[in-house]
Amino acid sequence: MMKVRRLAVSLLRCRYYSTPRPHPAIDRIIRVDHAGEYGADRIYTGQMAVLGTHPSAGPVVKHMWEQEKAHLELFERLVKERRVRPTALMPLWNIAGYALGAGSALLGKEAAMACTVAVEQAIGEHYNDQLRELLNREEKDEELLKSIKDCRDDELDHLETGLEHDAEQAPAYEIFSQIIRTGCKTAIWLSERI
Amino acid sequence: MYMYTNMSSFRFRLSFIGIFSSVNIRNSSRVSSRLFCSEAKSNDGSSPGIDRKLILDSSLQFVSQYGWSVKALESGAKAVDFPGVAHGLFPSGGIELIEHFEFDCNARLIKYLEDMTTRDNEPLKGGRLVQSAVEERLQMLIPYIDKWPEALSIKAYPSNAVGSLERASQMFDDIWYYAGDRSTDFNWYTKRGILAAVYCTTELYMIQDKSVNFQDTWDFLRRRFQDTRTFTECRQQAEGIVGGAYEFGSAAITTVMNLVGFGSRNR
Repeated sequence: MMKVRRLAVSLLRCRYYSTPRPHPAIDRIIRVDHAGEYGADRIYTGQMAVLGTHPSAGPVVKHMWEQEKAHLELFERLVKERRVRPTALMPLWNIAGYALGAGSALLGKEAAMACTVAVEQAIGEHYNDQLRELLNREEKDEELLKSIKDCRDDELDHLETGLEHDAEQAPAYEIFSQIIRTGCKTAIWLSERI
Repeated sequence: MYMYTNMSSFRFRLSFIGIFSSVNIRNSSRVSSRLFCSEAKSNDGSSPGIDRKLILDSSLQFVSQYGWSVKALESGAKAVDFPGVAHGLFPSGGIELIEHFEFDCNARLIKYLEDMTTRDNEPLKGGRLVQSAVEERLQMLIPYIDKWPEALSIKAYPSNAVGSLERASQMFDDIWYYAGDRSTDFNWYTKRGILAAVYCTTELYMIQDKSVNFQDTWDFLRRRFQDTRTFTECRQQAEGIVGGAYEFGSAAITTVMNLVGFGSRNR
């Protein structure tokens, strides 16, 4: 019995200690997704700071925030387990995410929802691109594929929620969402590289 | 594509070596049979032709004499019965020998880190593991310490700097990984940066240290780690102040919002 336990312990240790570095493509994918979920978490933190007590928008934002927290936890686990280098821009996304969330919420409930719609649209497209890339790889990374699929489905769900809650009634909706989407794409481009 | 160019340049070098090794008639048939054997082996794509590792390993013993140079590679090749011109296999010259040495040291360091973290008798972890790993890694330089300043300058050439930085950063990452660091935020960079600063300053101290058994270097290293601890404490205090400022700021925003009648607690 003792022997079995010792063997189990040593096996666990092996797995824990001798993880090789990930393939550069996988490294990049996990890094940018971790940064993205972190940014999303910060956006919802900012929105909650303003809309937290709003009777209709409060619970909706809170529900989406809970889901983003679960995503962030998932990608943090992947970063730790697979020895992925986190992006050096984390402090920037911390501030930028919060500012975007709080700023859009200060413009009103509709603007906050428009911000969610624009962000989730960019993120949804980005996840789909990643899924295509992962499916084209020779060795299929089932765990990562499943994680990204689950996240993407949640994000697209948030997009629907945003549209249901009058996102399109926001002032200057088209320009506003175009600016945010461009910002998201730039953030993705940077986080993949830095 | 890479494989193709590699193989063709390899063939070119084979013919090149063939011409010159004919001068050395005694060895030529033996050498060419070895070369072709290893060409057949290289088809798996893992090693680019001739046993480069053998030549590089053998060249290390000439470093204290000739430095990290083509001359050392030439002597190393001769010592394992290759013609001296086999140094043509290493077109970048001395830096390839340095690269080989550093890869080897880093591999040995990983073995050391694994042993230290999994040994039954008081496994090392955290800061103590980092400190002992840096000492262990610097000790690997002792056999070549007289020629190490030369290696540092070769490593800093613009064409070599990127590779050198990459090797060093992977080494620092390995040390922190085994020390149990699993940061997912900017701390990841702070930790590796501090370790790089400590390692590099100690390395510079070491090359001009004349004390017995490099005792002064190890004392210097211990003081640097002490400084790091003080720095970390300072940073934690500073973070406390920043955190306080943040609380103050958010309280101020709430107050202003309530004043203008926009907040949730307005009357």
